[in-house]
Amino acid sequence: MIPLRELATVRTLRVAAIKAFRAVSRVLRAAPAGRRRAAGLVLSALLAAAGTAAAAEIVVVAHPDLPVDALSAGQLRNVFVGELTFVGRVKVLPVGYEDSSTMSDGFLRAVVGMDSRRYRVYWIKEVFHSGRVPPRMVQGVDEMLRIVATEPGAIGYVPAERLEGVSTLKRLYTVSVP
Amino acid sequence: MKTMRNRCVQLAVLVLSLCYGTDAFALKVGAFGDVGMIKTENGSPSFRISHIDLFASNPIDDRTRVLLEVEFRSSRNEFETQRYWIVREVTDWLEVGGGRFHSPIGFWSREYHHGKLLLPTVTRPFVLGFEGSASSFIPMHVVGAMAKIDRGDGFCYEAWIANSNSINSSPAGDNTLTVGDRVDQSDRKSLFARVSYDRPGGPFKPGISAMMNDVNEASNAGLVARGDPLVRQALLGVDLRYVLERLDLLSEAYLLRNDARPGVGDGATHTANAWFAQLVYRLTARWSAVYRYEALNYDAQDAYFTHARLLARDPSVDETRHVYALRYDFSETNALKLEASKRPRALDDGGVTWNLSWEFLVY
Repeated sequence: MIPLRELATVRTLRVAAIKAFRAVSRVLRAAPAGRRRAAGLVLSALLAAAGTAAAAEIVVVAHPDLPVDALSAGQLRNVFVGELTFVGRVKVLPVGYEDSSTMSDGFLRAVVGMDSRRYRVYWIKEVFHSGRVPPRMVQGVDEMLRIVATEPGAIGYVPAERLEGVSTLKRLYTVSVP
Repeated sequence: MKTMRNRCVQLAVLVLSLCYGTDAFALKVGAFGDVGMIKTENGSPSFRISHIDLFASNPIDDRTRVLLEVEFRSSRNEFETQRYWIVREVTDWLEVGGGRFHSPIGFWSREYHHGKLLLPTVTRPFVLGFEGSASSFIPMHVVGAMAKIDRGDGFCYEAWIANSNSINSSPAGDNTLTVGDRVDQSDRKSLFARVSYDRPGGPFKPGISAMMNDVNEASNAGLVARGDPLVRQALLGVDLRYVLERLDLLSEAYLLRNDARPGVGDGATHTANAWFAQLVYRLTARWSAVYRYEALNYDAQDAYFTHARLLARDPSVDETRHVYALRYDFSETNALKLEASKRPRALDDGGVTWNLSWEFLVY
C-alpha cells in the first residue's frame, strides 16, 4: 500500500517525464537523422529505467511453518515493532536489513510508518527500556532468503523478482513502493 | 584535574573497546544525556549537566542477549552500574536471566530507567526514588535471577529471587536504602512476582506486583546485628495504564507492610501506601502536556520510615507532590521539557521547583 502523497509524487513524475519526452522529440525532429537515432536510444533507456524505478513490489515472506497464509497490514506492523510476538503457537522472528536501502526504506515507510533511521532509533529505545529482542538483521537478500527458509517463525521481506523459482516460502503480503 | 582526566580516559577507553573490541559484531552503544536549568524554591537558577547514561545491548547468540548500563556522574567523577544482565530464551515462551535489573514492581520501574528522554517528565515520581536518595523506600534495583513466561496471549508472568536490601543504622549511617550488589548479609532472599497484560493495540494494560523483602542491618554498630533484618517487608502493587491515540493514563498504587523486628522502633507491624496518577495528553505530534500527582502515607509509629537511624522521615509533613510538564519533541532523539513540581514547603525539596531540560539520545 502506497501512502496517497507518495502516489501523487509517482503520478507527477510520470506526467513530467512524458512532457519532457514530447518536448525533446520536437527538438530532435528538426535534427539530423543520426543524431535523432542516438538521442532516441538514450531517451528510451532513461524512460525504461524511470518506469521500473517508479514502483517496485516487495513481498513479505515467512518460514513455511508459520500457521497462517497471510497477515494484515496491522499485524505486520506489530510484528516489526515487536508487539506481536506469536502467530498461533509459533514465535515470530522479524528479519530486517542491516544497511538501509531504497527497498528497505520503502518497506518500513509503508508497513511501519518509519524510515530506516527512525526505525533504528525506535529499536534502540525499545531494547533500552523493555529489553525486547530486536529484529534479526541480515546483509543482503541472499541472507534474508536463507534465514527465512531455515529459522522457524522468521518473517522478512524481499523484492518480488528475487522470489522467482522460490516456492518453499510463504508469501504473506505484498507492498508496492516507489 | 588529574583524576577527572583519568576518568575521561577510562570512559573513552570503555566506549571505544565496546565499539571495536569484537570482530564478529560491532557492539551497539548508546548514551542518554541531558542539560538544562533548575530553580528550587529557595535556590538560584542554575545551569546543570546531568549524568551520562551509557548503555550497550547486543544479542550474543541466537537466544541470548546482554544489556549493560552505567551512569557516569560528572558531579562526583564516578561510574555507577545501573543495569547489568544476561537473559536467555530457554524456549519460545520462557526466558531466564541473571544480573542487576530494575525491580519488577509496577510499570514505571520496568519502563523508565536512567535515560530521561524516555520519561514523560523530567523527574520520576518521588515514591519511586532510586536507592541512595532521600526519597527511596522501595527497592528500584535488584541483583538476582529471574524467569519470565510470555506465550504471546498478552499475559506475562515473572518470578524473581534477589539479594535483600540494607540500611546502615549506625549513628554514622546515611539513612538511605542500599542495593545488595555484591554481598547479601542475609540468608533470606527477596522474592518478587509480577503478572501483567498487554495486548497489541489494546488500550488497557494492567499489572499486579508482589514483593517479600528484608531490609537488613549493614553496620556492626547498628540497631541489630549486622545481617539481621531491621524490617521485614511485604508489598502488593497494582498498576494500570490506559493508552489512546492522544491520551496516556498511568496509575500505580502500593500497599507496604513493614514488620519491624525487636529492637527497631516499637517492634510492631505497620502499613503504608504510596501511589501516583499521571495523565499525558498529546496536544500535537510534537507537543505533550503532563500532570502527575504523587502521595505517600505512613504511620507515625512505623520505624522504617520515621526512626532517626532508618529513613528518618518527618511524619508530620504531608508527603505529596504535584508535577506539571510540557514536552516538545524535536525528533525521536531529543526533546525539550519544562517541568514545575510542587511539594509541601516543610520538606527539604519543598516549594516549587522548576526544571528546564534538553534531553537526548546519542547512538
